[in-house]
Amino acid sequence: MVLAFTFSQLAQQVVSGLASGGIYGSLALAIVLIYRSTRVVNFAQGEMATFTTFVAWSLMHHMSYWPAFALTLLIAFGSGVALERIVIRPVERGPVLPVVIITIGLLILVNGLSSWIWGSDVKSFPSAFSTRPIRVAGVAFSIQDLGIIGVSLGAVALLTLFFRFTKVGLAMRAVALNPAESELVGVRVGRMLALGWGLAAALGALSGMMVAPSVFLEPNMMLSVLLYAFAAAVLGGLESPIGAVVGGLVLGVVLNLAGTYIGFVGSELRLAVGLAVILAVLLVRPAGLFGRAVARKV
Amino acid sequence: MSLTVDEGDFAAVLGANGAGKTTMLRAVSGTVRRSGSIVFDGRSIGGKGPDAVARLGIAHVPEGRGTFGGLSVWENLRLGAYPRRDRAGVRADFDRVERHFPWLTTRRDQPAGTLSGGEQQMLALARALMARPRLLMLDEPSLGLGPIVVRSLFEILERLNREEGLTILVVEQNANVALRASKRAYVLEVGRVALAGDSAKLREDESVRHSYLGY
Repeated sequence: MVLAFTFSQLAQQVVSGLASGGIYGSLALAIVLIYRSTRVVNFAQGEMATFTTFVAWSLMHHMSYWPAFALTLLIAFGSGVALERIVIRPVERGPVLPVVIITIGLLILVNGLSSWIWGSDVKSFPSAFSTRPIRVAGVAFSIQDLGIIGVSLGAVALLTLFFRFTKVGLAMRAVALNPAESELVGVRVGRMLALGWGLAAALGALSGMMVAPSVFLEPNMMLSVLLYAFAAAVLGGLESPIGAVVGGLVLGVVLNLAGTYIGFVGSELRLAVGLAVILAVLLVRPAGLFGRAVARKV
Repeated sequence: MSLTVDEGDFAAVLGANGAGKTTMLRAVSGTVRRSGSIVFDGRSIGGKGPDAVARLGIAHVPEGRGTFGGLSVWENLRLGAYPRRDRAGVRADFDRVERHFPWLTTRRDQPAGTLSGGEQQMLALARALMARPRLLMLDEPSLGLGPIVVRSLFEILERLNREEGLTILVVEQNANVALRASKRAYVLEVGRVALAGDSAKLREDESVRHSYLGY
């Protein structure tokens, strides 16, 4: 192992780690949004993201980047809501396992659908930001990295404001805490769950569009991102939206630094590091960094 | 089982454990499966879910407070007003609730879960009032509370009924307190109304006290 270590390289690696971390964090946040209101991990979250990124790719043949970006978020939101209403709702109030199996089924179905519509060959996806570097205090950062960090943090900030200051956001938090009680104050619980799926799908689309320029667009694009997102969500405590984002950022930086400074990790063992994080958190602190340990009556 | 609550009434439902008091309230609010007919304000609500019943103006404060422990006092109150669209009315009701429970003002940012049992029960009542209900139903509000808190809770209920004409249906094991505050009372016995009448009369009736209320 060589310790060739300069400040500028470290700073660059941290920033590009934060950029991938923002992507993991957005998808982790999507997983957390659904998990905390229904106790279900949506395994199809990554494939839904890939599908909507393909939609964005198609739209971008007809319009410029940002309109296509916004339209994709809307389409993702709508399909998330529709998916919950049609596929999840019939089993919503039952045990968790059937729902989990349905999301695994969705994973396979949506993946197949993407291949069927767009083919499985790799496509290049435009980036919203130039890959040109800019110099800040003598260190060169890529504008793309900074842009991705900005977009993910912006999305998280918007979502936080929504949950804290709007009536519907408050109702969604109430449903996550106690659905039965929420019904008694007149909240339509089913609608809130559908809304959660919509928001999660939009966040997934966001992470898909952010990651696609660097990993290229193909039906299995999000498979590894989904694993990192799981690691980030577990690290953050699975129930905490802030935790998911912080978990994502931490994971992004750790993976990047491990890849750069620990010789044998390279890019091949990145996935293994992600799995190791999940394992370590579950062994050492199952409630995650931001979660609360709950004692359940048995 | 048949039971009627008139508009502006303050009805108490008494009875031993297992008499079906809680189930009766839950049948009205739609949180259990039900048969027979449940009519509110001339409309059948027997087929409506709990959220729809709540939006019709029936507030149900369940046994064990039922506040959102993870949300602040203020957020709990805001949730109480969730179905309402009249912003000015909601603001007026915040003031009204603060008049009844002045301590809420200083605690508004505190998580509801850190309040004492009595304060949580008061908050649950305050939240129900925020819905400006036409029928307020409370399930065992005295459960686990000290006598002083119970007395002040029922004083507030009595005042709400007397001054604002709020229709109240309360299920209670503490017969003494409930009979003192309410106007009418029903005694339940395993799924049927065994006795109904004026609360004051029931309270004075020696035989009633012995056979049904146990004091």
